[in-house]
Amino acid sequence: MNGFQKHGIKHLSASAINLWMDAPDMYCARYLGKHKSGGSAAMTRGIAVEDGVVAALATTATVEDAIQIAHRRFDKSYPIGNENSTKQRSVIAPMIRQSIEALEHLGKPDFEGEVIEKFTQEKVEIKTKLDDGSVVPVIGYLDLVYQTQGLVVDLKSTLRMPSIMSPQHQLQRAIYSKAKGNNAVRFLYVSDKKHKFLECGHVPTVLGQAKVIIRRLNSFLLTVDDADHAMSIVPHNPHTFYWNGAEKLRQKLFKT
Amino acid sequence: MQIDLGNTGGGSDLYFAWSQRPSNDGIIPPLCFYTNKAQGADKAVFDHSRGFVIDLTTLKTGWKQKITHTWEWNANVSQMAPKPADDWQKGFSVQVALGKGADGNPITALWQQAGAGAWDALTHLSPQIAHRTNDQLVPVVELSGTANGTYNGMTWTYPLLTITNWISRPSSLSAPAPQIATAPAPIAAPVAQPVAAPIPQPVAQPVAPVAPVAAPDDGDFF
Repeated sequence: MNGFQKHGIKHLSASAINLWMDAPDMYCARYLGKHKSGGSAAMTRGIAVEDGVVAALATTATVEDAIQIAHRRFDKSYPIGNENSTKQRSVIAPMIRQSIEALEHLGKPDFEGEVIEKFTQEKVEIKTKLDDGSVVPVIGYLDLVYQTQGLVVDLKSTLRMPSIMSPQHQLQRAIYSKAKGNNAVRFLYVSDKKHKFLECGHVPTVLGQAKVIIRRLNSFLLTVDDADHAMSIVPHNPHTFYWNGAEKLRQKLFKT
Repeated sequence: MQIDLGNTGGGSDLYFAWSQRPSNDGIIPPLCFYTNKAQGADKAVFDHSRGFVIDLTTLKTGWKQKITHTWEWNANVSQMAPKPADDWQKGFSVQVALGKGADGNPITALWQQAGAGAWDALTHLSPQIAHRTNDQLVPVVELSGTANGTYNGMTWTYPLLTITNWISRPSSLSAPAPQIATAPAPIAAPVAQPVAAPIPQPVAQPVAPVAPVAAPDDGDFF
């Protein structure tokens, strides 16, 4: 039995691996303790932008319709606005317009099946083998797939436009690239003012590093008895943004 | 315990508020809700064993000037206007239904309060409101405890209100007031063309997780 099986973890993802690297305290809380933490306003803004963009690209919805869809999605999570949520909400419309400007020349993206009201993101999966020979799946979900063009696009809305992709996003891209074979995988970054396509990171190198991290995580999981044990010894950083919106959970679990 | 405030229902001049500290006259203890007439008389502690109803259709949020008590309301509760100046506090206004008085008449009141304690009470409710499934219903809330907030060395205590039920709007709250609901804000830019059919809502549909499998030798490995 490997460490993942020991703790009932059936698969990994780019976000899980990144969380283990960046915030092992939050990783243990979420994946071992099964503690759910509410997302931040920035995360919800990203989801709302994506909902709006997909509606504009794949349905008869106009850009203005798409913005309404996105605002509805955001307001559902943040029915009572504060300064931060209002700031995040205010960039939804320009981000959708930037996204459409960047993507409309690619035509309509492909989604699995003839789904009318819901779009099914394409699931991808690759696998890695541990020292004991057991296999751990690493899964992901693709935002936009253009099959005839051999192109996968992942949409990232951001308040600050990056010049290169973060290591976390490079891992996500590497997983998608490995899973999608000959497809190009590009990340579209959109702010409220501009947009940019990036494809950074040498896929075999990034995945090789990820394999080391997964093996170390497996060793950690084999060592700890349960979530409480893991959280009692893992490094804790109360200042990381990963705890934004989850301050009460942090207080409850780590007394900080 | 029921409170006889001689109230006859909707449109009253009764106020409802959270008290963090005891009142100077000793009537109101700390850390409780209380009612108060507009003229300042007839203060009474609210019976916390009962829940109360918050009429979200009347909810307004905004800023209150600390000295003049002037309010500037947000255009929509989903969006907070910039702080007018340093001496303004975040706050809100909402009608509440407090059950029936000793005379059997329903009691309604206006909960209009600014400051960190009141705002945190509303913020604590926000994610619970986000889970509502029917915009026509209003929440019944109960005081489930208190929590402390801190900022820049200041500390305050705010009520933890828990939504225990969603009910049809009580008739005692009268007709819907012309206020801003928690529904989506109107969009500044004009809608190009109304869509006849409902707009398809893209929702990610994750597939069931996959269990670890035996190691086949295929190209998916890294």
